[in-house]
Amino acid sequence: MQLDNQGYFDLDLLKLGTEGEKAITKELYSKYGRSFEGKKIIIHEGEQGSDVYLIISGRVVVCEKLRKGSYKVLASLGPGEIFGEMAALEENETRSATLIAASPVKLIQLSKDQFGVLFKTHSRWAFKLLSAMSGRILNTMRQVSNYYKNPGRDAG
Amino acid sequence: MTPEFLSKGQPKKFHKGDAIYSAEHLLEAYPIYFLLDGRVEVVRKYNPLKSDRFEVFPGQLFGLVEVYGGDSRETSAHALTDCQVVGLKKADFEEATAKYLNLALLSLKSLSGMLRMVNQRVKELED
Repeated sequence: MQLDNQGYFDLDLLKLGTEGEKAITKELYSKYGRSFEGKKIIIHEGEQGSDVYLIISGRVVVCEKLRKGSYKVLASLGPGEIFGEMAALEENETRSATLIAASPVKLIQLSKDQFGVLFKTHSRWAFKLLSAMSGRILNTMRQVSNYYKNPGRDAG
Repeated sequence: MTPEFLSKGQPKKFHKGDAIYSAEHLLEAYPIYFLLDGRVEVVRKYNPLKSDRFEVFPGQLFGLVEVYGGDSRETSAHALTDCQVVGLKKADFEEATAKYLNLALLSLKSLSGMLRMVNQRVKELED
């Protein structure tokens, strides 16, 4: 796999700023890398699963399925961002959202145990996740607040 | 007994009903709280009638969301019972988290529960 030639590791994907961690990302991709074509569903809301995903390249949209059957886009994620961690953190391993590849996507897919080992050996992952989850919570709360201010409009 | 990782924190006591922090205020000097005893409620008020409420139990952290996701308080927290907390500075929290990764897991689990609750709220609104 010619990862360097394809430029996937030009970025410090974990945004941690050290060559060693870039190397870890590269090594992880060689073992656990997966790719999805655009418009493919990566995770289905409601299904059981606890794998955690790190985006290497491309974009993934986070959607919620509404009772009327349509999907609502909650967020768009890009390189260096993590998803699927909620089911890995909780005993309840039900997926809370549907994740769809918005473009061709390359990911690192880790099992709950593999994620746990990585998490425990690279504490900066914890802060990255804390920031990501806090941002999502506040954004979602702002969406709800906007809805109540303008009840006729979409919550997004 | 107070966990060792809280040694740099600021212990505080609150009586039932006391505000611990309030929405629209700047972050406190020690903005991350570890609840030692009692119960606390974190509230995100959307309007006078609508809010989301997250109950915090001993051994859990609160106040994290704005520290990592914003600049000022968007939620408020008050004591549901008389309670004892330890406030932590962000830097001290991160030092403790790097040393005690279970603290990080505890924090993330708490945020995960909060995120599920607000996601459910969005779903209800859309339906």
